[in-house]
Amino acid sequence: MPSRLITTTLVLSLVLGASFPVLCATAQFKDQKVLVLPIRELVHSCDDLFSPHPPPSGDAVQLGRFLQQQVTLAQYTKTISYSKFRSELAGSASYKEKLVLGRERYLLAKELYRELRQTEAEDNLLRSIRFLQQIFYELVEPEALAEIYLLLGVTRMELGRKAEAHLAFKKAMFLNPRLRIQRGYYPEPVEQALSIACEDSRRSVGSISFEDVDRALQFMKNWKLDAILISILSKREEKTTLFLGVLDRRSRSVVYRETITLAGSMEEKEAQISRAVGRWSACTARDSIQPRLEERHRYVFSAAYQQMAYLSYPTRSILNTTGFSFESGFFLLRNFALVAKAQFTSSLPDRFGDMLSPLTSFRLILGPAFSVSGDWWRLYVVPGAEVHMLGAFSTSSDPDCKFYKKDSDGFEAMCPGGQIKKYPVTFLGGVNVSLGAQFFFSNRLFLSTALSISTYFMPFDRSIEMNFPVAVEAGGGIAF
Amino acid sequence: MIPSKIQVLGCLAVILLGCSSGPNVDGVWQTPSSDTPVSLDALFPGYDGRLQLALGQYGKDVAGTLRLYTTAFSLSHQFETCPCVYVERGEFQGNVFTFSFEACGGNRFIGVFEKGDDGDNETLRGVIQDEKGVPLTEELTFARVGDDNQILEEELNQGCPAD
Repeated sequence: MPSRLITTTLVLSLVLGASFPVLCATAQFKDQKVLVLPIRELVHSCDDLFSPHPPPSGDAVQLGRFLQQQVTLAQYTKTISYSKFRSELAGSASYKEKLVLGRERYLLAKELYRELRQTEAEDNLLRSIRFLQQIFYELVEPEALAEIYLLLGVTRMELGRKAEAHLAFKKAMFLNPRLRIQRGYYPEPVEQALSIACEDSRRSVGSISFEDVDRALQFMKNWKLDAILISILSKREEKTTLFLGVLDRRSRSVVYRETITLAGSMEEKEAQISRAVGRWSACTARDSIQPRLEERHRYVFSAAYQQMAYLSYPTRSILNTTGFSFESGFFLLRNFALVAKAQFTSSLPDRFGDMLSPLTSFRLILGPAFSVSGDWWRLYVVPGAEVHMLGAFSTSSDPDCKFYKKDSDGFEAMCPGGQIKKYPVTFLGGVNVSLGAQFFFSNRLFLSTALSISTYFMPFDRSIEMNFPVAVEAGGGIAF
Repeated sequence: MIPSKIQVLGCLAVILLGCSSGPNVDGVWQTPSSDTPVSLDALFPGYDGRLQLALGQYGKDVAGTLRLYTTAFSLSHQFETCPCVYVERGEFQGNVFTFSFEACGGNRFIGVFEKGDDGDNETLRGVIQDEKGVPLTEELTFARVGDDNQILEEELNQGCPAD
């Protein structure tokens, strides 16, 4: 019988759930963790590559700071400070070990180069680069890595492999755009190759930014980054342009690529950057997140099968009852609701059969509910006021009053009136505390369980020997 | 009445495991109808017959009736005088069922029976004694008959008809 009612309750809940319109919750998105790399400044003319003076400081630092600020302000975006990130990267476990290995290979390569053992020098330079790439050294000390590429380029020139030397020089120029070479330090062909590589690095801004996407994605995975924003400031036909590229980990590709021409005052440039960041932010696909449970629901209705035991009872053995509980709740605040419960129960035969007639009862509980919730669960506590109506019933501990049929000769002969205790319809008043949990298996449908205990203060004369009902409930419901 | 922790745990166990009754003497028990009638001379002088117990057990307490028949278990074969007595102070404890009853002459007797099994049926084996504990009958064997509804069907819960 109870199992049939439980099934009916659950089926009703499902039917009710299906008949309500889909809840239109406010869309929310997960924050995207973005690393904004400093602006790489490729604005310096390659004519000054051999100049004895360092290149002048441009707007890159200020624009970079502004760019970082704008990305930070974008909705659902969380940026990481580059300096903090760099120090974290340099402080990682394998960093020092790989750095030492990489530096050692570089120093060895320099020795070998001086001894004119270029092939071995190149081999050691490549090994050095491999070690340093593993720790993403280009993000910590790009100038130092540029030195290694520079020596690699020179070595390859001396080995007669000009094309490969060009790639190494170009990489060096990209890593350190402010690189200056002392005129006459290298032979004429090397200087020419350097000039060409410099020009080339200034021209291929877009393509050089993510030259090794797989490695960049691995890096993002290691550091739990959702996107990397690379920005390159360059000059094209006397116009300063800013390239912005965003590599997205989820789509494993460059999801945003734009080159904007910066013109006018600093304020105007900043406005241009701000608009570009806005465009990127607007076009970015984001993972939506379910609103929290307490934000989703305002009304809760549930029905449950209930098993109850009175810890203080008028029989010789504990008195169990079984029944159903119907509950409704209205959330006034996110974690605060008003709850009303109506419960119907009927007693089960007690161990000694002292209950001569079943006890039926109805109770009403009203109170506030305080809840905490996760994505799919809610825990709540309801301290409530209770009114409990007990139907009339009678008890006896005399076996003769139980065995013989009422009004029979046996009953008359063996069960004198005083052996039966009669209880009229009684109203009890007290407090109830209920602890419950709801487990959502869809947006609005849930399975629930609860444990409650009551204590009665009224009637004050303690004329009824029943108190402290403890109940367990299991059921389901709907919230919307 | 505040229950002990053991009672609370017991209650939870009952809730979780469902109700299971232990050994009991609930139901109808009869001496064999095919055998020679039991000699009841010491109880009811001049009578041999058959005995039937209709019992209801509540915890260890037992209530019911003891009925006496001549050759068959039917109303027409009941003893003419004093065919039914009430089981009093009935208890079933430690697999032993004890009770007392008052015969028509006002004499009080005590029944002491041990519950057992003869392979086919549950049995109650024992004797009827006087109040001093002297056995007054040969060993009697009652076998359980019918099912749980037997008492209701035969209205054995009506008690002994008033004179």
